[in-house]
Amino acid sequence: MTLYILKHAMVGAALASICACSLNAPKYTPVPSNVNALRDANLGQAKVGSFSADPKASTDVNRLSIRGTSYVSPYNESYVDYLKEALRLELDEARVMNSGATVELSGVLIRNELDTGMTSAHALIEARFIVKRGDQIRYDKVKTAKYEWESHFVGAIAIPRSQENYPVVVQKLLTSLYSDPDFLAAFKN
Amino acid sequence: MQLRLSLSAVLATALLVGCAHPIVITPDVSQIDRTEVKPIECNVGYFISQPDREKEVTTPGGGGDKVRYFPYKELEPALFKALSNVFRRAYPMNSALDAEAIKTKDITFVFVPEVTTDSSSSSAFTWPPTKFTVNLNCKAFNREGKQIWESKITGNGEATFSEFKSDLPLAAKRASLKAMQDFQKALNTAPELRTK
Repeated sequence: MTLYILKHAMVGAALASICACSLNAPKYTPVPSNVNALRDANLGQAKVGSFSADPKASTDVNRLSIRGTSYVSPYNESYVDYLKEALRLELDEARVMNSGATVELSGVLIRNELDTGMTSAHALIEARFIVKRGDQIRYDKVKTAKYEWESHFVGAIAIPRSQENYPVVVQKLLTSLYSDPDFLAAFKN
Repeated sequence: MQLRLSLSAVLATALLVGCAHPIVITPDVSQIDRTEVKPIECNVGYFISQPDREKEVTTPGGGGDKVRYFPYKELEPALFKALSNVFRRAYPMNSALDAEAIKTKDITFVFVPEVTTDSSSSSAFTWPPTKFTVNLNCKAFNREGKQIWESKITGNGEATFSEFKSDLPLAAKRASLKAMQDFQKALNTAPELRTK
């Protein structure tokens, strides 16, 4: 009985120690369908410009947590940089990236939320994307994406599930951007 | 009172150590780079069946727990990246012999992967695996459906508690990355894929 209690106390302590540390968000993974959508559009070359946080945002878009544990972006601990890197990775994989291009894509992260409830969880992201050719603004729109998944009241199940599901909302945001004909047209001469 | 305590202990134990924890085994695909690739100028397809894409696998973790994940769905971005790095374009296909896709997308080869995995843990007290293995057996077929190439690759990954405490599936991600990097090397050096 003593051994039984000891073993499970140690399991609890180990789990608590896992949860006591900050959690890293997974690095962004380009989605094949997103990359092929960009390549199929035969876009011209483009570069990624500056991305920033909306100064009017009601919450700090660079700070997320899962059940009270800090959930940190792997890109300079910034979710603004997470979005910028996600876009850069997909443009690079689609062979669109060129640091010398005259077309520049920039953005503002307006909302970034992650809620891990007892039965369901969701992430919500909203960003403004701007495409410029020189000084001329070719595209300026706000896109929003939401992704929901099943959660659990046990943190040991719910926390890793949220940890791995956040990137999906970023993928969905970019999917909605690439499926906008105005966005694709902004890259063309 | 003692019965209630015992039942609570059993329930807590079941919750803490009896479950299969969901993990994602997708590696950091930015580490599958194309700097050393000699490109092959043709389009390719890859076929992952819908049952495979939806297939969830459960393998051992630590402390008597298990981990569960979707190997095909979660390795697809890395497979796509390796194929895209070597070939001009890579397309997902609805079947290995999708004649219409082969024609419209000018596909020269179709790759069909088979993935098996295993995991284990040296820890009795934490559930994330400390060792993970990804076996990737991939066959390539030409337009006529004839097999022209095959590679059998094993990727192993390990992670200690201090490494995985902020990235729980780290051993799995390392194994996946190694398998896909070796897969790209195998594509890059296969003479069969350079003769259309």
